[in-house]
Amino acid sequence: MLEIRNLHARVGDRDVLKGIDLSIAPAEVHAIMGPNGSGKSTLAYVLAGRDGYEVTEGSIEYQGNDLHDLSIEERAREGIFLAFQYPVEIPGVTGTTFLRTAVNAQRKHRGEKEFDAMQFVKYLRQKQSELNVSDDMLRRAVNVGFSGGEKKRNEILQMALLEPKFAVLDETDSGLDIDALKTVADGVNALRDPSRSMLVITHYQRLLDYIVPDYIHVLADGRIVKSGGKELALELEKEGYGALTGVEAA
Amino acid sequence: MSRQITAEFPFVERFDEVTAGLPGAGLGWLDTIRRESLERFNQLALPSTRVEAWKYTNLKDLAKTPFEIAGLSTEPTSIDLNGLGAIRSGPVHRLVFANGSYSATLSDAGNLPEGLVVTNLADALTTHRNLVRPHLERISSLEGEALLALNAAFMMNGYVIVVDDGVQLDDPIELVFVSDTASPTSVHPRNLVVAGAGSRIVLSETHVGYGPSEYWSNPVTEVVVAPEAAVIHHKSQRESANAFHLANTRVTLAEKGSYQAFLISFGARLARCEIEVRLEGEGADCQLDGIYLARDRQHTDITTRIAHTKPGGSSRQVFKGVLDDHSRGVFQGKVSVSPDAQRTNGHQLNKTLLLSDDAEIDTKPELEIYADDVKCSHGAAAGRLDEMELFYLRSRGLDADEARQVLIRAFIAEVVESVEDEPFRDHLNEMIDSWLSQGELVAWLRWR
Repeated sequence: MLEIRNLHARVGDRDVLKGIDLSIAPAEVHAIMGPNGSGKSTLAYVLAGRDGYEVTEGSIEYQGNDLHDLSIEERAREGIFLAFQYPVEIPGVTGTTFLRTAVNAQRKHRGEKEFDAMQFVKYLRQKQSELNVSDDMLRRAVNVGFSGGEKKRNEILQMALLEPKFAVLDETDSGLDIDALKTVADGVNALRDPSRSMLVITHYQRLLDYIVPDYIHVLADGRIVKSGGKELALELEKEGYGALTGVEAA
Repeated sequence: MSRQITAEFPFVERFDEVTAGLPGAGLGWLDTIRRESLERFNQLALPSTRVEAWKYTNLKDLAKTPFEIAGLSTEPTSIDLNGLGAIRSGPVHRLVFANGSYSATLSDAGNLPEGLVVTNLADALTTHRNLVRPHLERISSLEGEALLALNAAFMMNGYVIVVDDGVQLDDPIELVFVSDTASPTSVHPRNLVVAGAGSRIVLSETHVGYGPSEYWSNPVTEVVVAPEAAVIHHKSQRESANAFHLANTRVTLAEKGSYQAFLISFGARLARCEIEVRLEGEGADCQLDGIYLARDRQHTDITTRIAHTKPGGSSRQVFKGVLDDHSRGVFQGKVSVSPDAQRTNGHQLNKTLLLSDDAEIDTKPELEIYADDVKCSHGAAAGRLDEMELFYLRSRGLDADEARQVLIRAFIAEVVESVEDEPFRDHLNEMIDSWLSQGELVAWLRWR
């Protein structure tokens, strides 16, 4: 599904990623953990194709094709989804309208017939209740006035609607209490699929109790310094990042 | 550098000849106003950028253009009112002025309630002379205002609306000014609204132009709001690409009087909308909201002055603009509070979205406060589209152009949503959509 080789990336004049190798097969859930500043969000943005994040060396192959030449929206339409750490508020655009547009952009790209308003609402309803997203939330402008938990649930709802092949969840747990975390995690787990892979980026081990990964990689100073199975999370919990990275905790 | 720009407009040279054909010709007092105003204009000349109020808006191109005055007997040839878009279904009350003349064929005052007069200045100078005269005399004598003086010297037909005490009409009164000229022409409409105590009216004013020729529209509007009366005034400025639109509106509010205005300004090569509101009675209220959109090399200026002279008044202004290419925007918002005007609430906000590196906004909020028990605020901000927001939308599959349009709409949404009148709000959204898309409309962005 995703093949990252020797990836180097620069943001502005800073080299942030300094040689990342990562292989993710379909159906796998990988987690990336690491201290602040290690490059976790940068990796997420590079995969999504954000402007200002420049690949200086190495390659990213998605479903066998070089990702480099695809624009942000092309990547999205090809099935790459990024759940934002800080989802953006868009006043003046209702949730339902926004979701329908995003879904239709994909359907058009795949040569499928676009949903009209009524068809979309039907499609939406199925996914909406599972995630406890109320009609009221969707009638309001996208993310405007939403609590942290509501914003994250809205991200997962988008993921459920867009049915990506590869989803990157950027610190989906940040700012959430336990209940909110459980709801979001349930939503994510419900989206596990043999044809879908996920990259879960997190700072704390706790999320990985709920979204249990197949592999964990520790990112420090732009490189993966250790990889392992899910037990690695507990080890990090006990020892902290310092033991692995050789860096004293801040 | 001088504080004056000299201009030699052909029509000014021909004052006697021209004014003989203007409304009220032969009325001694009106002749006097015209003559004295001409003298004042000749003394003042057009303000240069040395004059503080005109620092950011340069009239030199206007001054260089050999404007004539609109021929007064021309019925419009090719004006298609349907192209303006039917704003709403329902009863029509519409006055149309084409190239400076009142068009009887295109106008239709409709069925008006008793006590509401909707007419044009020329007729009002016959039927309501005693009412109109003091208003014309007062504004014309304001010192130091060259464009007002010019309008007073050459005042042409405009709308006169007189509402008796207690009379209310919810249907909007449509006031349309159309320009369609073949050579550089100026029009100087003079409008007057007098709303009696406890009355309520809604005005929907449009200035629209067709054709490639330059023209200059110099309207002056006076609105007098009696105690507890309410005037709602919507205005669209959609002049053609080579037009100069310099509008002046003067409003006075008596106690508990209210003036709510909404302005959308996106036509013309150079547009300046000056609005002055004087709250001269206790508990008066004024709301000025608006949107300005400009691209290419357009210059758009909104200059407001709100004067609180009595206690308990409230004023609110929210103006948002979007500037693209090499366009230039100006916002000058002054709120003054006299020593007597305790418990005033005055709030002002100006925000501009700059879509290109060469677009520029000059924003100058001013608060002049002499009372000590007041709540006043002002804010001014200008910036580009947020890159993170664009990224978010594109990461959901919207292409770059769609994403920009969504965000520009979102930016403007706050002001549009403040318009209570639903048909006008829909109409606003249509105008904004067509400006945004310049043709190919992103269909799903329609509000309803």
